[in-house]
Amino acid sequence: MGVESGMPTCAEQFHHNRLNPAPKIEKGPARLFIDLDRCASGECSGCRLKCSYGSTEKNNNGIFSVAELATFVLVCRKCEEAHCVKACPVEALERRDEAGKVLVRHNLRCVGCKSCSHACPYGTIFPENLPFLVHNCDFCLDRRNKKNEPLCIATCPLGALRLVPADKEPGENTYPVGDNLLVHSTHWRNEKA
Amino acid sequence: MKLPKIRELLEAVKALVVGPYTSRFPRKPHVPFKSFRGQPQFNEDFCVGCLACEEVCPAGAIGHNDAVSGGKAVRTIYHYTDTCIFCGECEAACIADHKGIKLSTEWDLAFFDRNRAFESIDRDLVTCERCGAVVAARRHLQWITDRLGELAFSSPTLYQTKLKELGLIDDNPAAVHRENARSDRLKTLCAHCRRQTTAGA
Repeated sequence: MGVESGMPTCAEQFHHNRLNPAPKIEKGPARLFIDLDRCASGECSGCRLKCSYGSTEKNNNGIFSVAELATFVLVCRKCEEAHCVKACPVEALERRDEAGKVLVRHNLRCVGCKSCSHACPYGTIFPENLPFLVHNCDFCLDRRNKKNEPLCIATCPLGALRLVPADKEPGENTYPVGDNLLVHSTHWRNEKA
Repeated sequence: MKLPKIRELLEAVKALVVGPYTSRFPRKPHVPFKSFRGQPQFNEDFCVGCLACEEVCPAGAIGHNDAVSGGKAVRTIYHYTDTCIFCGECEAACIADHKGIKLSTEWDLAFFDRNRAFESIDRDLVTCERCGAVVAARRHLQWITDRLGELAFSSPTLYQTKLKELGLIDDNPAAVHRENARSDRLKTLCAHCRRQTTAGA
């Protein structure tokens, strides 16, 4: 990953079909680990962490872009006839046929009406993860040497975030998404409930 | 200029016959053009209360307040007419056929009390039967149900809202019991509770 291959943000990679669909566990900068299960557990009443990106907007930090992508890749059930896509009034949602039928939200078309969230019969899409103004996480790749950076890891009250060395084997229910992200999320197919 | 001002002369003669181009404004009220971009106004008949207008407003002139009291939840959407820049983004983003909020031809906007420089619209809300959080405006859920057609029957939140509108079902008396079990799945739920109940977490 570097400047020559474009922006390192996951959304940027994703929108230009550059998101690595089969990322390898090998050398590279440490991955940002996010525990989606903790985010969705109900312990958290709303994301209050601080973001190094310096956004002045309340309730709109870079982690939402990470949570959105990770949710679309790992939590979404990838319905054949997608409710969310049909509910969208502005055709901002697209089901990509290549790369694992992952959902893409074209955020220049999205108006933030949250219709997709209410249409999903599985509660996959949380309304607060769909801001109209998107702040894309760049994983603080160039800020990591500074003290207390990235801010999100230090300020998440649930400790759902941390940096994990790229060559470490992921544990159970933990999957790499792209080159810079590692997501812990129990797959709905694995549930015994 | 050698020639006399023929165009001006013609205009002067024409004005004697057809009258002046300008309107008799102070005496007669001015009627703006149809495409005049005046102050945006909510439309009670079309607004679904989805808050897309609030999201896209670049001036932050649209806000909302969700009031939940005594089992009744109401969303009041405010349009602050003093902050508004009349850009029309709200109308462009409106999911109700661009009719829920629309630029009007209203132009006579002077006022004295800035605290009253707003207009508002009330929308009924649907609350989660498990955690009590606001799900969405009732009209918005009905709008999604109509859009999805038969697909809406896979989500109890959507079809129950629609069936209540049609008067086919009553409020769920068992809704107050939080069971963390299968019966929770048939309640009207917010996205968080929906995921927790379907995933069994």
